Amino acid sequence: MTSRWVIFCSIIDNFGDIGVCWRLARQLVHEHQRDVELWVDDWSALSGFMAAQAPRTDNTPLFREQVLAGVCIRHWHKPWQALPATDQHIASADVIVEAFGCELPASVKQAMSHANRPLLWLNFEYLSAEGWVKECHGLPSLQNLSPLVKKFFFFPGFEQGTGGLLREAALISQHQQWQQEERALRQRLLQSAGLSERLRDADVLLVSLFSYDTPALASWLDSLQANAHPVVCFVPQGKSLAALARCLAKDQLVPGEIAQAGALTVVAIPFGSQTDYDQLLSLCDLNVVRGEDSFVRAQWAARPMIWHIYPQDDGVHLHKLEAFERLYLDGLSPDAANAWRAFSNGWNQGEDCRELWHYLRPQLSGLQVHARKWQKKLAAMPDLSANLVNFETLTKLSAHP
Amino acid sequence: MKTAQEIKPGQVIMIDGSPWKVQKNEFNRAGRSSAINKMKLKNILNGMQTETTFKCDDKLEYIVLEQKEVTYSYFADPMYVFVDTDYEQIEIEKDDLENVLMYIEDGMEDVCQAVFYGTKVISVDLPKNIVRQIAYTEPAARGDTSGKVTKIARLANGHELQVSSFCEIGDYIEIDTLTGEYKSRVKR
Repeated sequence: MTSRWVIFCSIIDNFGDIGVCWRLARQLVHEHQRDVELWVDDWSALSGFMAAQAPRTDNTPLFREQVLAGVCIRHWHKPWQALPATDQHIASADVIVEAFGCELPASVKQAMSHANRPLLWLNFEYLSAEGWVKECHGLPSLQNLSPLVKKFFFFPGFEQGTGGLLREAALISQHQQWQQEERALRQRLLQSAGLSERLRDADVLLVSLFSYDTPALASWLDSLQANAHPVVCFVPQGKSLAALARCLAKDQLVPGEIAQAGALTVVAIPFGSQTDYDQLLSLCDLNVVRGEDSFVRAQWAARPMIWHIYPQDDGVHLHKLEAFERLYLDGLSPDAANAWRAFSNGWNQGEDCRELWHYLRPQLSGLQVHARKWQKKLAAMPDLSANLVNFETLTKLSAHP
Repeated sequence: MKTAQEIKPGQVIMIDGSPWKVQKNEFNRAGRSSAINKMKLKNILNGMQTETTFKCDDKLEYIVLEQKEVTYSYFADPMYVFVDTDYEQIEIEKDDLENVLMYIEDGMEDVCQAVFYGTKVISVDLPKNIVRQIAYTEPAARGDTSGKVTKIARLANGHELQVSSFCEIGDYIEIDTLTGEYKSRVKR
């Protein structure tokens, strides 16, 4: 019998949380034949996100409970409206996932305490390359709920011994296909943005930019404007676009708009589907990504990338960045590694990146080769959804020796 | 109730009706505002040990335990023997001294607190600050006398820690037992 999974997702900032949860839910349905219910608290954000995944021509609003791509999406009202039937329905699942440490409603936990069969409760955590992740991944969390309810912490990660990274079965071959058709697809990308013939024919550096606000941006844009060859920077709708408009002394940049400054052409693009974004990452010479979802996708795209990590007040994010650097730069030539590290640190600490870009730019071809090796290394490990399903199986086996 | 983050090694939490002594509690920041506590626990009733994780703000039921003043007497393999103020001997397993074992040495006079669960001693707490003698350290490098430059020193029981570079063999030093750090050189 197919097991039933319930995922709770609390949207904190933009579409990163829902992006990860939606990928996971879809994969569990399509690749592992699970029944999946996805509870999301911010319905407005979810509606925007879902509209980008599969635009509906009739503009019908998202129903509060409906099945999309095989996933049953439901509105997580806050405060939770405790309905015994709903709570019991959730508590009768095989697996309950609280994504990114979100807190389950109290009445749901109450219903879980009356579970009459084994229930796996997973705290699905944030991605980190730090060493302690391997030590905490898969550990139980002893709870006073019920002997039938077993809670564990599940950590995504880059190494064996962690939960791995989300990777759809066809993702790597999809990137290979896009990159085999790279020339034609890049031309089409430029053409669809409405760029001139001259630009299309030139030796253009394609960049995607999806970052948090940083003082480093203005200095980097200065460098790109003074670049010897044309640079086209695709900027998805969001905070980067507003920051970029300020740097270019414009009131705003709206999706579809193009701004020109020296060698730099900025193309504001609408928030698109996850597949469209994967393709953009696959075709660009450099991707500036942020947070968790776009960061992971950029690694699967096997292109040079810069990661803008989610900034935290106490600077703890810099330790996380350093931990990733240690893994990512292993095997890279010292020159390329130093240039990448310097730019990455400069970007994340809001420094002037003009000179740092000057050193990074010549290293892009070496970083391209390295990005492929890194992708191959990561792809040799089982993906996160398979690890989760294996975890479910092993937990069931240990509950019934 | 206390949050997982507030629980200290040596304290006892109740899980499913069983008392578990916290032997270690490590705090890690996961992402955004999320943080994790990884604990090493020992079941006081059956001795079973386990590692477990909590969100840092998970509420845990902890119990306040009886304490008695004791002083260290001698080691009778595999037990450490302490004496209370009534000269009663109290035997403690090595595992239950994990957080203070590095400071236990013959002849120590520190007044410690033995923590009881029923009649069983489950841990011993040392005073926050203790004084120990350096058994060995390399001679100081010339030049810096500010105390900011450190070097390794070994205590009589083999425990090593960083001390100021001007410390020498035979010097007495004050140590913070909560952080494990050297505080200063003291005269005796």
